[in-house]
Amino acid sequence: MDRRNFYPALILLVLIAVWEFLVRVFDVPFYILPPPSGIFQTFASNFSLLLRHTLVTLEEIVLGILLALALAFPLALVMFFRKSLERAFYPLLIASQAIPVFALAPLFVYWFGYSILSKVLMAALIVFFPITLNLLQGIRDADRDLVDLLWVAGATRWQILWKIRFPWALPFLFAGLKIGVSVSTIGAVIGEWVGAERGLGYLMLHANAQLRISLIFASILILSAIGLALFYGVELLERVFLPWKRRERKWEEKG
Amino acid sequence: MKLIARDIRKKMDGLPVLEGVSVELDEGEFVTIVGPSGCGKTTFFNVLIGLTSCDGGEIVYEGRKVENLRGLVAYMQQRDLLLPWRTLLRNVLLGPEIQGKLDDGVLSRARELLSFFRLDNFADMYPAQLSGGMKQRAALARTLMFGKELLLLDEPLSALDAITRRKLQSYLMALSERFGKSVLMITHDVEEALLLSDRIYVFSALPARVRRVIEVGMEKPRSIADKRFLELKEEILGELLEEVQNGS
Repeated sequence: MDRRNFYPALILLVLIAVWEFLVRVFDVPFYILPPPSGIFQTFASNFSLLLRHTLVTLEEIVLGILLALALAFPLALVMFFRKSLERAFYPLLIASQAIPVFALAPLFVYWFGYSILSKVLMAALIVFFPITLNLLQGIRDADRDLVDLLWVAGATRWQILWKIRFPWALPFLFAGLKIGVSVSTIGAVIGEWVGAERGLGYLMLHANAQLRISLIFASILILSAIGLALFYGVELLERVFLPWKRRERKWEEKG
Repeated sequence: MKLIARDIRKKMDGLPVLEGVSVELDEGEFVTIVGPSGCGKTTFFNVLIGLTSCDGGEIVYEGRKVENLRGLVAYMQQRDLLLPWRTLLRNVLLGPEIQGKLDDGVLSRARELLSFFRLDNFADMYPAQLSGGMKQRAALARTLMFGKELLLLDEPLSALDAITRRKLQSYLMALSERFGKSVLMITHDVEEALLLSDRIYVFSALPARVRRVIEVGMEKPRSIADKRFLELKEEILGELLEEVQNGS
């Protein structure tokens, strides 16, 4: 293991050990707070059930992220190219963040039913905002001199967008995406709580009603794992798409 | 004449910056502009390439009156302006790429150029991995690959240390001598101007006028120890000093 990850892992292990110890010493009932070992047992014995619901939630989240991306690009471009549209959209975009997404969940379920659509929309809504704003900022932020260089050479504005502004915005996009994907689970789970027939959120409600607390913990564990996996997945994509960033960092460290 | 800029005038925020600047450049010539810093040399370039409008005067390119030189020149700045996300080779190919002329011939020409600039071993590296001198050489190669006959260079070596600078001056010389380009360059280094130029325009302090035009007329390559070289250097430095004192 890499040294960077050593201490966080150690702290986590210690916390789990303390939890296990306290639950055993004070003899806390299983239905109030199960010990970590109990949670892992539940995890193992309900593996196929958990997997089935995980795949549902994961699908909602991934579709939500893709939808957010698909909306972010045209909107950021339109706002970049048309100042008047930016003035019209930007305040609304900011204001839309004042709406608690959770409060929209019942409406979405009411409109779009128990189908996957309402959850996808919930996830998309959460992811959309940081992606769009970061993308717009990145496109705008591009080095003036680089833009001028291409302009003087006679490049069209689409060429300038594609060859300069867009690559320039990529690191911004990835930063926004990292923020977005790590909270994307929230949207999907809330959507499932309000109305669903499958998914980890649905499973948690069900487990709650049956006082199967360890199943709730197992679901939480999986949701966290999904959030982490998405975060590192984006980081991996970033390494693939932005190889020059890695080189830059390496060279700066060398001095 | 390759390029004639006649009586260019420009005011910024009501203040005159260019007060009737005229510069001429013949086919294959290397012409430099020297002047006190902040005298409006870069503004003059910006007018030529169309990044700023002017209030008067005209620009004639190859006998044709043009609004500006956009699309007609290759332009290079003090900053190398290599795209950090592209390898050297792909940076050098930027010009042909936006002109839609990318083919095998272009690719092999780019590789030839890289080897002329002694960068053939670095073709697949990113700019961040290279030294300042190498980056500036790559920027020169890219400027050539735009395939224009006229090059406008705005203090192309100013960001470099003295020794690297001296080494790169021979590459600048090659732009006209070997590649047959017409070059208009801004520099604040009088020695550099004298080493490279057929003609030198000495600009006044703000607002810029052409204070003096010097036909250098010495054989190239020149020696900085040559008697006429030293005389001219002293003369120009004297004039610049005078301008700085008048200006402030």
